[in-house]
Amino acid sequence: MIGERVRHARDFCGLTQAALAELADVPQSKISEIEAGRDSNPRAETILRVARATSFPAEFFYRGPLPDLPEGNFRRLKRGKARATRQVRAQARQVVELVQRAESILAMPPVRIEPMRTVPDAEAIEEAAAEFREQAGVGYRDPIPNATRALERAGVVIAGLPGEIPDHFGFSAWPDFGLDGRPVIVYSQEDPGDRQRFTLAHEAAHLILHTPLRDEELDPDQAEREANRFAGAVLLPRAAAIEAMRAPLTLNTLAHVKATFGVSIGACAQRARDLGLISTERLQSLRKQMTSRGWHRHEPVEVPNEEPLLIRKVLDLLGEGGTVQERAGSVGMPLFAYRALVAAN
Amino acid sequence: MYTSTPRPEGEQLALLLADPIEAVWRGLDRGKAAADEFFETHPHRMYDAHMAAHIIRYEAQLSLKDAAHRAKDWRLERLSNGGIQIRKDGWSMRVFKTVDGTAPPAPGHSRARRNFWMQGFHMPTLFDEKPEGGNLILYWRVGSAGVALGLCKPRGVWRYRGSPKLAWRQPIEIDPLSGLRFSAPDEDIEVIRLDRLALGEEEIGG
Repeated sequence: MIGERVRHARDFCGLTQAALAELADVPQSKISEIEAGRDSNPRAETILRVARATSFPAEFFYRGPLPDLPEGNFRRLKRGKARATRQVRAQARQVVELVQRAESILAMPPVRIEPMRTVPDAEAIEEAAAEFREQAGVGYRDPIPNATRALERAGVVIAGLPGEIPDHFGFSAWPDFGLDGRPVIVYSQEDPGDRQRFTLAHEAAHLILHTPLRDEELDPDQAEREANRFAGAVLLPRAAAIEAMRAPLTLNTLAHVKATFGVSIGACAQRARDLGLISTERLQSLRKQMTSRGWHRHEPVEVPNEEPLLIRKVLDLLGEGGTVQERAGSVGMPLFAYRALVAAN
Repeated sequence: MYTSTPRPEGEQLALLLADPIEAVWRGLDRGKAAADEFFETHPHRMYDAHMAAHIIRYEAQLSLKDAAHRAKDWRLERLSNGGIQIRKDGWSMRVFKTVDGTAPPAPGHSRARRNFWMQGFHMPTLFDEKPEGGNLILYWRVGSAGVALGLCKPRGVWRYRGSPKLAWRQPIEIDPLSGLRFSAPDEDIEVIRLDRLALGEEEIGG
């Protein structure tokens, strides 16, 4: 159990065994032994060194087994490194542990989203998105003012990652699915607001469309396309999209749609294509125009970043002690991660 | 004693006519998209500048008509041969495609156009509240960089490729994205400690 937590803390900080060994001034072979369970009762001094190196409180390593975390779904670039992927998972797992502890103490919003049991087609995805909007209480076709809050109201825990993790935008998982578990989404806080909103809707799509499916039933590329379609349909519902994106579609029109719905210009253009409002050639042309204006790197029209509130309230209510350090320690989190969740969220 | 320099007439009129000018700009922007789309999806994909100009005009007129329906203080008049004229406060503004991007086209042989260029038949109408006014030309060009506009006041006629006779000309800068921002008001969410709820205490953390 201690080994699992040492591995977790190392992954959480994005460290290799060698890097942790150096930071903690402990032989790498010892780290390896502990993590593999070959040393299940390491010396307290060793654990203290690991705790200092990772900023976790020492008590964290004696808290028993970590909660199970399913494989989950990532929104990341293909070039994303495996260590960064493990780091995102570890940070999500930390949130899951916190939330599972809170379930018996706090009354959080009940989980209102419901996964689909069938393999979705485009029409089913549109319907699932409309149903999700109803469950989240955001109306049939209006812009969603705060996508984070809409998901939190639907019972999903959302947390920003405490630091930049290259090429990773978000991760979602539904621990203890079918056993009153609560879905969790973590996302990069470094991204602009429109990308964050899309990431959240994309991860919500995985929770709804893909949670009940077994891995062998899931084609990853297909799943990504479905999640993107769902995200577009949630943030820019079909009826509103048809009205707002009448042909001929220009980048300036799309910029106005972005200002109304908080969806990136690129995603609006893709949504127009998904709904058959523009041809594939037109989509390519709009993308070329975006590139020539430099909009593929930095789009105009600001969409402010949203801030998760549910996790902050959980930390506020669970944390004990007067100082930030004490409060972070009482919930078993490294100070930097606690600060990031409380301050940035 | 300090005296402020009055704005040049071109700048003043560009401000006065900002709404209809922006409506023309939007129409031309949509027109450009329509022309692009036409050629992108045409089996031959052979670009034709004359065809493009026709499509741009057609789409721009539709868009301008919609905008004019919503406008309160300017109106759109259709002229013969597909010409359009916008009226506001005694000013008549005609819209023409420019050849070189810096001036309106020569009036040609049309008597009506020659009169317009010579400030000939500017006549205040019952709708014009102010007696001042005149004839203006909004000239446009659509290129790969987008829509470019200029406003000018003609003061005579000239021949094709001749030197334009203008009282002034005012390039128009339009930033269609100015002030665009998604507004995201924050919302609260309830989280309650069960032990305090059982004791009937007030909600906390909400």
